[in-house]
Amino acid sequence: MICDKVQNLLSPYLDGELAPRERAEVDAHLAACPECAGLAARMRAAVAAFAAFPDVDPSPALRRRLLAIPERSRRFRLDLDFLRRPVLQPFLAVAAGLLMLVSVYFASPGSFQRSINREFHRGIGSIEKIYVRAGSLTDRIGDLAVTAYDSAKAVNPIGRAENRY
Amino acid sequence: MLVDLYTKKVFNMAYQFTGSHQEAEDLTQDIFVKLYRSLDKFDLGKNFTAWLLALAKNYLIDEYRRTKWEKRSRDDFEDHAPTLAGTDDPERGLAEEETRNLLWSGLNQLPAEIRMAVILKEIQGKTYEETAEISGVPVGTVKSRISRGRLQLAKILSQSSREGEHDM
Ligand SMILES: [Zn+2]
Repeated sequence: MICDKVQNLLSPYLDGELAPRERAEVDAHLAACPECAGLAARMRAAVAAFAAFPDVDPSPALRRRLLAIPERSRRFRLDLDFLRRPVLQPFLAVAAGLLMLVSVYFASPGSFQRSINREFHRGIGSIEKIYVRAGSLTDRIGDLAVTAYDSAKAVNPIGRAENRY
Repeated sequence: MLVDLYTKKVFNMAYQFTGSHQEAEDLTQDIFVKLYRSLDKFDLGKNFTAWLLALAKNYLIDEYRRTKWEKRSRDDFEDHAPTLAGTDDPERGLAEEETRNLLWSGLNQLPAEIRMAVILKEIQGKTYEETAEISGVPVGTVKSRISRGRLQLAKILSQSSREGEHDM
């Protein structure tokens, strides 16, 4: 009976929060009762072991998943979203290449013939880059769809513009 | 930004609570979605970390009650823990490792609110007051949860050492 009472005081006892009289009672009991003394020792060991528990690193994939979430919430991006449609990317790429050639012509019409070769190749490089980016965009849109599905599960899906993927 | 500052905190809270690395990642993602949806409810005068951890804690306990995680087993502690600096005494090192494993699996036997209090106070090193703020209960309630959690875990440790003696 007294053991139960003492055991319920062990936690504040270890924290040093007992009044002197209670503390003395617990001390006296622990000196006489191996059962409670053993529990006190193990409680102390548990507190020390927990304090030394290391933090664990989440995977890099989790960070990418988390970074993909707020993109959907940025409303100011919504107006330009049609530009991100994969089907438009080849047209945008060609348009970017043409604009580059035109800008070369207006910037230096005299040496157009000479520079066009160099700029044309640079333009091709840009078109490739845009293609690559279009590819990674479609990947990301796929990823966002997964995230959106997860979040639709987790939150009230009604009335939120971000849930339209 | 939020992801860089808080991923590790939220993830470790979820991992310690569930004991499953995979589950903790999924739950962390859910919690961030919830966080972004709730940011406009944050009162700027308050402590953001405490508010976020309270949101995480509520989500974890709600999910726990909904899906009954306690029936699942936990990952082995060593599976994801970085190597700890060992002691020079191998016998003592072994005893410490066994204590860690028993406590880690023992967390599953604690009721949700007590387990969460133990995680915040003992593993994450919060004070009683901080734990109370995150848990949304008075400090006295946290102290009694910690007391019950510590006693239950101490009993698990002493039961295991008694079984060890019988084995010999
Ligand atoms: Zn006793």
